[in-house]
Parts: sequence; C-alpha cells; structure tokens
Amino acid sequence: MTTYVLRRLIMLPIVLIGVTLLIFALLQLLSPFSRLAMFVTDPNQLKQGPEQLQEMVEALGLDDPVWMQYGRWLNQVLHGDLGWSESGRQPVVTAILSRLPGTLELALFAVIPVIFGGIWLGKITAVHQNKPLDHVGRVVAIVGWSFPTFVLGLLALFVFYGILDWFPPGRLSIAAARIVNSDAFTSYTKLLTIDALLNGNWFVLGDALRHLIMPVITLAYLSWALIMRVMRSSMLESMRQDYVTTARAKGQTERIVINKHARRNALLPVTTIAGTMFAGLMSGVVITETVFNRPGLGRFAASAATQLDIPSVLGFALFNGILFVVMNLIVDLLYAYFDPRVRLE
Amino acid sequence: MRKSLLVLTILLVGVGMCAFGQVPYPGTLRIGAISEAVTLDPVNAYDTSSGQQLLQIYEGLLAYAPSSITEYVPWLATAVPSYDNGLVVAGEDDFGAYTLVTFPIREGVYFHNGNVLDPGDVEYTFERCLVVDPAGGPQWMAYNVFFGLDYNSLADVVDAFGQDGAKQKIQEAVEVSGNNVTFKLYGPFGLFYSSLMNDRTYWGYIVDKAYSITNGAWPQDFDIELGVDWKMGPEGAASPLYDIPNGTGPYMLNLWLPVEQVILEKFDGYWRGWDGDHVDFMITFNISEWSTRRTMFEAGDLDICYVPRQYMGQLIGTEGLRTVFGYAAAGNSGVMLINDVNPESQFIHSGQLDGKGVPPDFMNDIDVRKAFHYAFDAATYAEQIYLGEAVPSYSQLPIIFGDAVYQTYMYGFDLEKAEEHFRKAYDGQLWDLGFKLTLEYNIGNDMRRVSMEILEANIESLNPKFDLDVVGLEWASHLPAYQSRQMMVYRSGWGADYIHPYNFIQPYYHSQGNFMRVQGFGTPETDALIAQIGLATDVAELNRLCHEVQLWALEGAYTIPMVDPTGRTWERTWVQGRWFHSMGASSGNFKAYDVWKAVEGPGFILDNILFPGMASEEW
Repeated sequence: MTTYVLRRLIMLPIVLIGVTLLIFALLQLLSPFSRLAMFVTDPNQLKQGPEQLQEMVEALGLDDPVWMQYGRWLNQVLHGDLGWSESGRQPVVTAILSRLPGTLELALFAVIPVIFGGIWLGKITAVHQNKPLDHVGRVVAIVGWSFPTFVLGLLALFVFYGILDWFPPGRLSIAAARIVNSDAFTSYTKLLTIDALLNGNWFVLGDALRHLIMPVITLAYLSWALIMRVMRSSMLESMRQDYVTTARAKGQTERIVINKHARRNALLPVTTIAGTMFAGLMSGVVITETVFNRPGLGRFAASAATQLDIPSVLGFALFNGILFVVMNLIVDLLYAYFDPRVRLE
Repeated sequence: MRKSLLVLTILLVGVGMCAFGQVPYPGTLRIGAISEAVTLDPVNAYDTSSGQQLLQIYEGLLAYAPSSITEYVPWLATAVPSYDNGLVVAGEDDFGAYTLVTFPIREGVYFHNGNVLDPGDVEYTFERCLVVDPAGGPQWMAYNVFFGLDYNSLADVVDAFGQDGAKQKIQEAVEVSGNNVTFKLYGPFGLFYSSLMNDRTYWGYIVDKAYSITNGAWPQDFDIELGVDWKMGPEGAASPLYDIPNGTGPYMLNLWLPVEQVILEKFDGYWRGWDGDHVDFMITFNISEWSTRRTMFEAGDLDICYVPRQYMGQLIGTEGLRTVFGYAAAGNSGVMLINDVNPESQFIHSGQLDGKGVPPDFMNDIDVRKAFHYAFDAATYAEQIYLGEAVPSYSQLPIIFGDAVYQTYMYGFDLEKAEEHFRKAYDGQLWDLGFKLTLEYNIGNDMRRVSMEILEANIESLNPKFDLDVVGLEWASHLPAYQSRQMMVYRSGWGADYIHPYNFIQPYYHSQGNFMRVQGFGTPETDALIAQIGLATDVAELNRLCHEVQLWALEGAYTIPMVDPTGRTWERTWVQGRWFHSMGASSGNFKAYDVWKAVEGPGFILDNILFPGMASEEW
C-alpha cells in the first residue's frame, strides 16, 4: 500500500504540470495586448496609444518565446500571482481565497448527507428490490435527479423563508455578523460553523447552520439522487456475485453478508462519483449561491465568465484543475483501500 | 441520537421563529441594492452606488436648502459666500475676468480618525481634485468652474499653460488665509455651488490632508514629475483612499465585503451630534437576484429595496410596504453607440466584417446607427416595462427641461426602415455577410436588460445572419469597461449633477463629455455651441442652442433615446423620515442621518414644492 501511495504521489506533480501547460496554452490563444489585462489594476492604463501598449507588452515580455513566457508564468503561479481580477477588483488569488470558505463550507455540509444518505438509501432499496420501499426510493431519486436547481432553490426560499421565516438567505444574520466581525471573535478557518465552535459561540453556530440548511438541502437533494441510483445498481450487481452466495452458504447472517461482503465491493463506483462530485460542488454551485445570496466561488467564476474577465477565469480553471487532480488522487487511494487488487497491480 | 436530533431541530426552529418585536433591528437601516460602490475615494467617485455611501461618510462646504435647487445652507463652511456678504468679489487679470469666493471654515469638526478639520484640508481637497483627473470622472466640472467651459480636463489646462503653468494655476486656484479658503474662478460662478460645493456633489467632499498623505495619496508636492496622462495620482481600485474613507460625515466605514455588503456605523464624534432619532448602522446588501431580494423585503429583512419597475405588481398591496411615486427623476438613459472600440474587445468577436463579428469602426457607418435606432420600440417599452410610468425620450435631454427639449420624435419603431438602412450599410455587404455583436448592460438592472433584449430580438428578426447577444457586467466592471472602449453598444444613464440643460448636453454630446468622449462622434463646432449653452442667460437663446445641439445628435444617430420615467421607490412602513432632494431623487440617494425606524412616525417626507406630483401609498 505504501509503495502504491508513493507512486501516486510522485505522479501528482507531473499531472499538475500537465494542467498548468493546458491552462497556459489557453492563455496563449489570446493576443499579447489582451494578456496585458492581467497586469494592470486600472483599465484606464489600457487606453493609451498603441506605442505605449507595445512598450508595456515588451516590458512584461509578453511577446517573448513561449517557453520563456511559460517559465515566467509558472514562477508567478508558484509565487501565488495569477494576475488581477477585474470582476473582483483584487488579485485573482485573493479573490479565490476570499470566496473559498463560503463554498467549501457549503460543499462540506452538502457532501456528507449526499454520500452517507445516498449510500444508505442505495443499499436499502437494493436489498428491498421491487418492494414498495424500492419503488418509493426510485421515484424520489428520479424526481430529485430531474428537478432544476433553481426551481428547488426558489421553492425552498419561498416556503421556508418567505412564508415560514425559518431559514433566511445569506451567510449570517446581522446580529451574528456583528459578532463575527468584532474583535472578540477569532476567524481561524473562515468556515463560520467551525470558527463558531472553536470560539464556543453557540449563537453564531446556530445562526450559521440556520443559513446553511436550505442551500445544503437544495444541493444535497439533487446530488444525493445520483449516488443513490449508482449505489443501488452496484449493490444489486454485488449481491448476485458468487462470493455473496458463498458467504450465505457459510451461514453468515444477512446483515454481515450485506454490510461486509456486498456493500464494500459496491462502494467502488460510488467512490469515483463522490470524489468528482465534491470537486464539482466546489465549482458548480452558481445557482444555489445566487438564489441564497451566498458569495462564493461559483458566483465568482460565473461573474468572471460573463464579464470576460480572462485572468479570473483562468485562475479559477487552474484552481479547479488542481482540485480535480487532488480529488482523483484521493479517490485512487480509497480505491486501493477498498479493493486490494488495485494496489497489487 | 434521536433525542439529540430532536433538540437540534427545536433549537433551529426556535431560532428561526424568534421574534424581534415589530421593528426588526431598529438601530440598523438595511438596503437591498443591485450594485455596490465602485470606490470610496471622493476624487474618483462618479456613480450613484458610490455616491450613496459617500453621502453618509463625507461632507461638502455647503448643502442644498430644503425644497430648493438654487439656495444653499452652510455646512462645513459657516456662511454661504455672496456678493451681499462680501465673500464674493469680481476681478480681472491677464487671463481674463475672475471671481474670488471666500469660505470661512467651520471649527470643531472632526474626521473619523479624530483629526480636526482645518482650511488646509479644504485646499488639499480641491487641489487634489485638479491634479488627479480620472478618465470619465467628475472633475470636468471643476475645470469648468476654475478655468472656464472650454476646459474639461487636466490635459486642457496643460495644453493651455504648459506643465509648469498648469501647476501654478492650480496652486493659485485655492488659497488659505487664516481660517478662510479662497477660490479663484475663471469659469461661471453660477455653476460653482451647484456643480462642486454642495452635499450632492461628492467629488467635492472634504478629505483629511494628513490622513490622505500618510496613506499614500497625492503628497501636495508640485515638484513631482507628472505621470501618465498628466495625472499625479493613481485611480480606481489602485487609489490609496479607495476603501479607507475618512470623512467628517455622520457614518464611518465599518466593513466592506466586496460584492456582498457595505456596513457603515455611527460616528460618535459627529459635529452635529446625535440628539433625536437616528439609526446606528446602515448596511447595503448587494443582491442582484430579484427573487431573493423580493423575498427578503417581504420578510422584513430589508428596509429599503430596489424594485425593478416591471416587477412592482408583485408588491402592490403587500402589508407593511410603502411606495413613493410621481416625482420627476432628474436623470435618463440611452443606448450608446461607440464609433471606434478597442480592437482587442471581445464584444466585437472576430473584429472583421466577415459575418462572425464586426470591425472596430462598425458604428462609423451612419446607416448602421440609424438601423439600430429604428429597431427599438420605445413606446412599448415605456408601456409594458415601465407600466406606463414613462414616456419615450425625445433626446438625451430629459423632458423636465421643458422647452429646451427638441420635442419631435426623429426615429420611431419601424423595422422596414431598419432593414432599409441595414441593406444600405457597407454598400450592401453587411446584409449579405451578416454580423455578430455583443450588447451590454449592468447586471441586476432588469429594465436595462430587457431593453437590450428588445433590440437584440428586433434586429435578429430582420436577417438570420444577424447574430446578437446580450451580456451583463457588474456595475463596478461596467464603468471601466465602457471607459476603456470595450463595448460597442451599451446601455447607460446620467443622473443630474445640477439642474441645468448643460449638465446633460455636456456629458452626452460634448467631445470631452462622459459619454461622447468614449463614443467619439463629438466635433469642435458642437463643443462651441455647448459652451454657449453653459453661459447663456437668455432663456430663448438657451432653448435655441439646446435644440441645435439635440438636432445635430439626432441626425447623427449617436445615442438611442430610451424613456423619461417618473421616480418610484419602496420601503417598509417602519422607515421614518426619509426624504429626497431633487438632486438625488433616487432610492439610494438620501441621508441615513435623517432616517429612523419606528412603527409610528411621519413616514416618507414628501416634498410637494419641488415635486408637485409626489405621493405615497402604503398597506
């Protein structure tokens, strides 16, 4: 197992360099003048005459040989410099990092019920195949899978906030925000729930959770349906395997047969989906963030894309690429844990 | 486990249903907006979102008298200079006739950091206005009054006097003597208070000299080598005072979370004191999604909310809401057509006349411009989107200016004529090849979005080879994008800096005006006419000049007129004491210091002197 992990870790930087090459290649599709936008903090600087712009291009080496530009760009990236975000009006790295906690918190809270709930329901419906529980579970999953996010989000907003006034949009109420922004509250992680716990502030914790519930349910319901369906199919497949029949023939209880023999093998395809789903949640929660007025990475990326803010889009793509690579590594390691054949190969 | 879940559920529901009493957060005014401040540095600010914040943070030397657009009251000055009180004196020198205007500066006024206001701060403020001339910024009005209407930028001053001469003129423009500050004006004195010195002209708000210099703003050093574009200080987000304001106003910045919210809090040391009813905080939330904003407003989590006109039917009759309407809006908007855009702009796609984009000078063809004009249905737009609370504009001079407006519609909605002009454009090549072009508006402004979609749909209906799309930019990106000529067709508008036709004619039609500077159709002949408008004292002559300039602009088809709406604003019924001055008659342009929250109170303060038709309704 150790050798396998080391081998995969050694591969990681090579894959990451591949990602940077791809991003850099995309960057090179733009003319040197367009790439100037990455280096100015005031668009008025771009209004100068062609001679001045050419001088800036030369000074920044934007017409140097590609390999030189790549080396310079990679050096900047390694030093945390991804250029200036026009849509965020701050450096791209700052813009991404400042919005990361909001999205990460949402994704973390959503992914836990998605994975565990989806696995559990997939298992239950498979075990009770073609029985009422299975039928109900499948219908609910199909509804969830086919429901547009914005419809569910808006419905949830109108019912649970507009009518019942239980779960408001945003990240915090004004009262909680005052506490969080005061000197008495220390932001260790920028994740409001975790920080509230670390500060021992139950009011902020309750308030943050209250603001998280509806977006989490909106996100989780849609993703959970997919996990449940995959788990159900995989579980059905496992339960038809010889080793499950053998376990039963050995006199194992049905509980052990299902949980130890069938479920563990059925988890393999779910692991793949769960890993990419988490990475997807980190980047693709635009609608949920918009409807529930939560500033996060999804809204930032969408805003940058519609505003043709190239440095921000590329910075986000790089961040997303790294995230997917890392998640893939985690998935591979989990695969090896669940299935010894993988690490032996 | 089940017990824990039950406790958690009860806790969450309990928190959710927790009642705050009848007025939630009585000390906090919560505003639902669709855009955020572009900058909190007064010298650069020239948009209503920035102005909404600056109006609370900073102050000017004078303020408009209530219900008047011609009279002023002293504010950070202790007197309103006039010929009668001897504080205004006329003179003449080699450069021409001038006016000396002396302001005695109020004592005992503190900035938010504890520094005391002194005349040196006033001198620094206005010298900084003149040396930091942001492109597309407000300081053209300062050059107008300090040097004359032919001067619209620092470059104009430098062209006239040379670099050293310009520095000398700027130093002479503002002088300190004891506790007084004297301004030397070569431009029209009549524009001085209205365009630079009052409580609605935030580009003339007084900044703290010591604080500004300490934080890296212009060091008041005239020996500095002048930089790019003759500017001595950085602009936009690069300005050192961009997000660290320090004014004398009743509220100071507590927190600015970009794209999310701006929190202002009460300044305990405010010179006017805190007797009476006030709010302690003002929070402006940036909520671009209407459904979310509406739900928060209805739930009582917003006190004042921007409501797009086409959605107001969703709120009519809602308990706890008040709407104020029927007041003249001193502003209008148009669809700007840009003559020569940045060749690198993504809005023009291929940048060629090849059916996959348009050339940068696409709008140089008058037939293209006229076709765009004929393709917009302003009457239906006014009726269906403004729900009848607007009339199609004749030109870019709002109808509130009466006889100064050239009151003949030159273009109406006519797709046959639009097709005729598209067929003539580029000697017929355009019709055969087609084109692709992106139209722009600022995100959150759904009325502007709809206008661009109308234009898109109508033009696309003429020829399947015409491919347009509409993109929205955040306000803070919209402004620099048009200033740097990224967009070829975009929707923007103008709110009055002061009530005079010149204040609309200049930005829309003068070659150095805010819009025409970018559009690139201005001419010296028209500029000369516009300068005469600023100086005209005879009403008939003023109207004639205004007509001539409007006719020139309409015949050239440079800007598609939209509609002249009346104003409408929305608030919760527990908001008390809010009022508008004519110069700031928009939902965000009020002073939070005047507002408090209570179940009972006077409600919105209607001004039927300035706005005879103003009325309110609440449920």
